[in-house]
Amino acid sequence: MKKAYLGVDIGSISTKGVVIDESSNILSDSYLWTLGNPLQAVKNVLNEISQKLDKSYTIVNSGTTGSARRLIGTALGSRVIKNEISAHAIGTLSIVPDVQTILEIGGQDSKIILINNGVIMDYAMNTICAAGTGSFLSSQAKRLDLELEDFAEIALTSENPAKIAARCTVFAESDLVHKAQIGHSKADIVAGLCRAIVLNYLNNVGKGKQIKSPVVFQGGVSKNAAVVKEFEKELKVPVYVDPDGHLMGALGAAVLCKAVKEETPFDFNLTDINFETKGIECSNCPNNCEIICVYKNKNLLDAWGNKCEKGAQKLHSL
Amino acid sequence: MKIGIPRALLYYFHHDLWLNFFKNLNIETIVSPETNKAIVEMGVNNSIDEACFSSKIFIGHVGYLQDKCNVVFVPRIENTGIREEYCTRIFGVYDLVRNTFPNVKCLHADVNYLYGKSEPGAFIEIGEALGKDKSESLEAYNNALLTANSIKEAKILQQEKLLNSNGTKILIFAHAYNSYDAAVGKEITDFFIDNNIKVAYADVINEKEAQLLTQKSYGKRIYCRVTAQQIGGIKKYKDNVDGIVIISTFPCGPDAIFSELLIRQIKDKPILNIVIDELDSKAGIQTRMESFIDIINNREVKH
Repeated sequence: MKKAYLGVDIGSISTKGVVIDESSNILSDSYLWTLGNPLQAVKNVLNEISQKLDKSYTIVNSGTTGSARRLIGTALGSRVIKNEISAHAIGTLSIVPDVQTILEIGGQDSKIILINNGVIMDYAMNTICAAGTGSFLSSQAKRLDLELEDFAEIALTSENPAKIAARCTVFAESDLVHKAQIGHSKADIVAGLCRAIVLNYLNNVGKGKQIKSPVVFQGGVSKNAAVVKEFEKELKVPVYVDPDGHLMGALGAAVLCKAVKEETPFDFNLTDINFETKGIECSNCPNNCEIICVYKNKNLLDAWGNKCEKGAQKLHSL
Repeated sequence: MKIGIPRALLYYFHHDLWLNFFKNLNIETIVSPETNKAIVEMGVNNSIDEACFSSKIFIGHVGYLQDKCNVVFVPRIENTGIREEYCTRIFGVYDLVRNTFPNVKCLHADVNYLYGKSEPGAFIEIGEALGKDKSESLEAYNNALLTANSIKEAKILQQEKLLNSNGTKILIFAHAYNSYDAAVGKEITDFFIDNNIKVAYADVINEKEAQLLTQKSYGKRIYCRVTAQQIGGIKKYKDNVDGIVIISTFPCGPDAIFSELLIRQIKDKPILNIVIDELDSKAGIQTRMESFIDIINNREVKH
């Protein structure tokens, strides 16, 4: 039997899964849309992974990260439930060991992680507002009647990117309409958008941080070559985008599993198990906490969201 | 006669003095409970949008107390001397309360040293309103002050002991009414404590010492008294902790300036900046706190 480790990264937009061997080589991976249903997305990801995986490997531990890490971690019985920042840094370090700066722009959030000698030294994340992230680009693409996948290609043809404010989708919209009305070409506007993303990121998330080479750029937006080019232009250092960049979080969760001594055999048959979640509002005190209950085959597996003992859920069946 | 005391804003600076003053005068008090969702809702619904979250919470506490006591204690402390001022939001709440809750009777006195209104004078005024004579009030005040000061000193000693002990420690940079409020900072500090991290507070420091330290580092006195004290605490305790956590409520003027200033000036400690508002979006905060803990713990191990 050869040992393998599973990492799952459940983001707001996409769900990523990866299986690695003991030397952190990727054996199997999957990348699918979350589509607002993390449990179903993970089942689909696990199906895809198990089909691609060499049967001589046995998964001995699993880890989760991403915004649904707790929900999925509970469902999978994961030993490692890690926040995205640490997971991304650890995943990236296993591929680019000397990385000093990680830039990340995802669907809903953007972050910067500073690393020194393999240790995370500092990080910053955008605030509640999703300005300048992937969802900003996709809403602008819709407005311009373009496919997001074609964005980079069109942007790279521009020689004179239009100046567009990316601090807020509402402001960007009026900027965008204005630029189009006064005669800027579509290519210039698209290039302007890509540039605006970079400037917004450096001014908000990267504000006051020392960005040292090697720089790795990841997250969905890193697939956009025009944004990568703008980053290089601004930072004046090469920006490295790994072809597996979208898997870094999942990879980090899997790498962290290697350090867990106790093994928890993992069963892909999990995909047949029925998971349900139910939100309830606790009425035992004026806080009215929203409590989430997770059921596995109609039995309560775990619950969270309560601020005090009054909201603790007793194990019961649905 | 029952006096209602809102558990918000100035309460967190002066509760030992206030409660002991009323106790010494044998007057019954009721303190509103820790901020809960119902209080927040009451505050938000009765405030203008532009008010800061902390002052909205104050209004909520007054709303909670309105039918549970005879008068609500809403003093106004504008300053304690030149360049020792309180925030306009804090001294504006008396007028807000009077206009928001016309039926609520307020027990009120002004502290404004620049206009000759001292703290002992204010307590005599309050005593008068409660039918106590001058010497009675003054004695109650002096004894309460002694008690409050000794509690304060004990707290400072306790914190210094904590800062000199082993283990991972963080320093909270926040106004007391934010760091201890259940709807603002308490959930955050509890999370760190649950993760075996010791929590110290920048404002738990001798006032004179804090002022000197602040003056020394910025060349002049910072007019915002509360912030000046916290800055002194940062200067004094910074080297004894592994990280700094800034907690502020939206939109706070002094915090907006000083959180930025600290982030730019302090380069040798990781800093986490958390801004809380009534929108109640806790998801992002959880991730930030978890990764912050990873960072300060990792630094411990590798360095």
